[in-house]
Amino acid sequence: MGNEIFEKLSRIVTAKNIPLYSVFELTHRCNLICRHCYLDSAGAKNELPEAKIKYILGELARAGCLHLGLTGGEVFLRKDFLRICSYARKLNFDVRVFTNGTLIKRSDAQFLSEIGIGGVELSLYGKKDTHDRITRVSGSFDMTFAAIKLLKEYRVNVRIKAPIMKLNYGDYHWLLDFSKRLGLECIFDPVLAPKNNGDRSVLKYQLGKSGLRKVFSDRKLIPARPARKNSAAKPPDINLFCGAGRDCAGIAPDGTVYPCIQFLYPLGNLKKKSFDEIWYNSKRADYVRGLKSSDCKECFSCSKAAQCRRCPGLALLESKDILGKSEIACQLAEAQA
Amino acid sequence: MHIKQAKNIAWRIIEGNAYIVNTQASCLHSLDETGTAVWRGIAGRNIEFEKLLDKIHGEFEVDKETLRADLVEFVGELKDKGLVEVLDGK
Repeated sequence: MGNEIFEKLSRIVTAKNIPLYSVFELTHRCNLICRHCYLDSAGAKNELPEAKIKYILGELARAGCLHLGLTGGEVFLRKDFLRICSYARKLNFDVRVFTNGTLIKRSDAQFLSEIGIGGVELSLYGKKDTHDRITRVSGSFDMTFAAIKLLKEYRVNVRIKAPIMKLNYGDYHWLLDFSKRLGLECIFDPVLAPKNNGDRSVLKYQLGKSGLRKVFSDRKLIPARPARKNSAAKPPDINLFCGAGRDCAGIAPDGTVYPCIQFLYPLGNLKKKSFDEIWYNSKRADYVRGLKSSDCKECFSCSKAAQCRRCPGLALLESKDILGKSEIACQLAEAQA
Repeated sequence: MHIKQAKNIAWRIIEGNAYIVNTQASCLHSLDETGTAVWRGIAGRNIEFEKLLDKIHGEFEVDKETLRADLVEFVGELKDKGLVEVLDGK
């Protein structure tokens, strides 16, 4: 029954371009300096004030957004963060918080529990030494672990998120055991993104071919997933786009609306226009929604297209072309073949 | 008897139907048009059963006692799914 409801809702929101899923980056500031981070320091300026954020949350609620991710940078660096969370809950969003957890105090965990937050997703990269080496902040593992314990104590849903990269490849079984011991879900992602400004230097940490093959053959780590719709795909059924710009929206700290926070094709800015104007009356949004898989000439004719998990945002960052090839997706498709 | 939306609930009304998530259980529910009318009466409030009954009765041309029985059953279903809390004597 749950699946039927989900499928019906998915059909409606896709057909009507309702941003059921939205991610709001509240800040790009961070207290950690993770080696693989995709944010660039230039984005740490021009944050929206609390009142404007609350106004936008009202617009998102009216547009039909149900699942709201609040992310950073590090969201707890904003002094108004808990008030923003509380306001979002009053608007009946399913609020998920993405954080490194290092600034979470007991009173914060209690507050998040009391307002009925949907969950907190924390970045944890491996054992203490590995984690602190990646964040470049000594003691950060202990602080994140303390937050996990506090959130669990107050019965907040906690999920651990970890990229798998050269820097922590040796620790992923430890992370699996660690999560299991604590009764937590752990989500691994073998994809690293270039920085938002196009700087590709972080990709030196991306796993190579053999590492990716090992990751994809380990079902404890990444459960087998069907390719996007119609896995036995003939070319017309290949799907090289996702819900970004259709049922998913991303908002940057400066108010820029994107199809997704990873898909940096600006649709408009909320300092100048309403969310509805940007989402429903912008030529750029129409353009994104009008894109078809067959428009991606090179990828559409690729023999691995049916397995491809191409992210249009990463393709844009990598090739400067929404219709272009994503090398990372190619590597993943090859590793899974 | 008072009825109120449970704590860990997120919801939207989309195309006339309420979609409700119990965020603790990550479970999605949907209500039909009539159920959605009842949900509108409950959501964000702490409403006394008789007031809810009057409100719904004003919207649908149904015999009040039949509606009362249906509403008791429906509220029970919402409670079983963890979507509402039913508070006796408040």
